[in-house]
Amino acid sequence: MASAKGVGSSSVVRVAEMEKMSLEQLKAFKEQSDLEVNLLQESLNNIRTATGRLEIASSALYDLSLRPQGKKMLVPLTASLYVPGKLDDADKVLVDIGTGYFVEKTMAEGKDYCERKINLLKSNFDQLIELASKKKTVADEAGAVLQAKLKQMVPAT
Amino acid sequence: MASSTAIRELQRDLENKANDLSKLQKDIAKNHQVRKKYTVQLGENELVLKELDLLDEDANVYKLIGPVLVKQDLAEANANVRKRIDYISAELKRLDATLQDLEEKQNSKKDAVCFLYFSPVFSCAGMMSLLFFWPTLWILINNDI
Repeated sequence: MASAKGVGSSSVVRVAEMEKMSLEQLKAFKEQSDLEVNLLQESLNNIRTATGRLEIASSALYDLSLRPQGKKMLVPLTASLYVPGKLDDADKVLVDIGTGYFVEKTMAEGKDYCERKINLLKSNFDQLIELASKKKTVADEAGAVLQAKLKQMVPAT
Repeated sequence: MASSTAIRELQRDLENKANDLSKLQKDIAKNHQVRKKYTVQLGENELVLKELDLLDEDANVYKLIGPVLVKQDLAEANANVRKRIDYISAELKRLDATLQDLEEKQNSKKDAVCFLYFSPVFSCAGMMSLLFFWPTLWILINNDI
């Protein structure tokens, strides 16, 4: 990747490297870095929403586990149509594990599943956020060097 | 005039080459998109496989077919997901090969176009399209996602 050469080294080396680039190269480099930063930011947002949904699922499970068997409830068929129903078995839940597969789990296993997914997402999130901040510094540096170069250009012409 | 026809000739040549180049770039962009889709699917399937591996032998597994859930053997589901992962991996490898091929072609085309830009009769239009193309080229060439 274009920006990979700058990531490992210190920021001073990176800036010096940017100074050597031509104006077009630097512009392209800056665009590329911005694109990557945006992409990472988008992924972070996706992870955040996914974590939120899992947390909702987890709390819904907890809520369900509190209800006794035979409890009367209203089941939503559509957003505005509800039919009365009875809670049959709160201990068995079906979990969507992706790509169309569902697995029957007990309440405890279901909760464990949610926890595991949340933890996985959190660890991914932490890794990604580190990467994103690194990329952001690179992009900002590129922007600063580009600005400086453009300023130098003006008196020259 | 001989010189003006020569310039026109060069310009037409340049245009053709630039068109070819942009076609290649479009192909590469399409390739990237398909790759992205497959990579996402691969990741999802791997998650499912991990989840299936964690299950007990006698766990009930259902497959969503249209609007109905159909009960399936754990072993069968496992084999299915594995097969899918194999297929997607193979597809990704194939896409990698075509991408490399396309990039090689693009590089040679780029060289040809650059040669024309910097030929003694380099036109204003050539310069403009160089400015236009260079960032895109640079991104595409250096982008190995």
